Amino acid sequence: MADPGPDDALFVNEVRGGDQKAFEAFYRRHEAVVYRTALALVRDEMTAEEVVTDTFLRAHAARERLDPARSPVPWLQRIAVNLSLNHLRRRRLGIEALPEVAAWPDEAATVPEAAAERRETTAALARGIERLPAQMRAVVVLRFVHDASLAEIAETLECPVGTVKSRLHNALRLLRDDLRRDFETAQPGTQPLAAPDLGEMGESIG
Amino acid sequence: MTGWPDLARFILGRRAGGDPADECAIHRPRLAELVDERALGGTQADDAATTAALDHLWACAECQHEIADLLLVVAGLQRLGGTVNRLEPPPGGWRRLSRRLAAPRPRGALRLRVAGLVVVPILAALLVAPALVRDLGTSAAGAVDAATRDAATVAVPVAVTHAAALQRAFDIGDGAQADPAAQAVEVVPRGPLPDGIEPDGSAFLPGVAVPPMPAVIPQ
Repeated sequence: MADPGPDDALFVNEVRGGDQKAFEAFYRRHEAVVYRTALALVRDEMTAEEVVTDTFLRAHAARERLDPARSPVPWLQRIAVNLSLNHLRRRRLGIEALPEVAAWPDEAATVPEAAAERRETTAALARGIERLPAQMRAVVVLRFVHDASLAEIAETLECPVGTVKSRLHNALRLLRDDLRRDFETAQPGTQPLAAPDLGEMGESIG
Repeated sequence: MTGWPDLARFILGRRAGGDPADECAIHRPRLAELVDERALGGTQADDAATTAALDHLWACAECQHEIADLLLVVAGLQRLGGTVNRLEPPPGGWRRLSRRLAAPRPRGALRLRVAGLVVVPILAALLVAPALVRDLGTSAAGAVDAATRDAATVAVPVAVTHAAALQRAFDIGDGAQADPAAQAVEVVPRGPLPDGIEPDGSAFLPGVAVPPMPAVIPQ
């Protein structure tokens, strides 16, 4: 998650005062973080852009509530997550159309040396994330896209740390089961998952 | 474990080198925690339970399979997260936002507010109408007191009067159907709404002439 910079407090004070230039700087500073959260959750570029605009519109309307002593990122993330989850809810209810193209990036396009198997695993995981319950998906996105800590995720989602922990735990198991099913369907009776290096796990405790 | 025999088997099993299934049951939770810790990017605890769990992991193919799959998920998510994290938002975001910031409030929101101003009093009136009607509308033995009815017609809002008429129809029955002309409700013109909008509907259709409301609404 983006660290609060030394001039964040100054920004926030000016934004609270209604300075349009300061709000533009505030937007440019945090736009990418909000966009990535929205994109990872809604998996559609246009919807993600919409979420970014709506997030900052709401932030502008409620700028009085900004606290100069704290980073505005969790607050912005919370708005973006809520708006994204609203989009997902509307999609589930059929009010909003499903995007035809998945917006999880194709790893092969960004990492040319990626092996086909890795690509397949990543694609299967992306599909699995889509099937996760919305709140679990939010935890996974904040953790793995923004590298947010348990406390940061809890602050963003306004829930206890224990809840975040259990959501992450359950999400990993659901994704694991999903991945197994996915590969089992593709290649019945095989054990296709290439085991990661377990040695790494032992090494880190010395 | 369900009781003493299980506990005894567990202790004996541990002394005798351990039943693999029991060993798995003992170490699996700690191994699962290790995966969660890995997923959270934390450092693993260097304690006896962790060491024992990792020792077991090296010797147990089943646990390796279990844990390896979870680690694969964690590694895949980290890779996926890293890829998303390199994405930049498309240009033009600020232009779009500043246009929205400069734009007046959407008309839809205004309409909803005006609709709220109209609907809420009507709903409130409909809720209190039955009680009001019982007090005002009927006098002795179910007969309609015309004077009361007239007073109600003048004093209470349109919706209340309408609800009162419905209530009377239920209370009085077929024989006492009132004369429709007598039930005419006089509409008292209201002043502008708090936000300065004249309540004639013209705010919704700028440039379109809206016919004035009739002074008397036949019921």
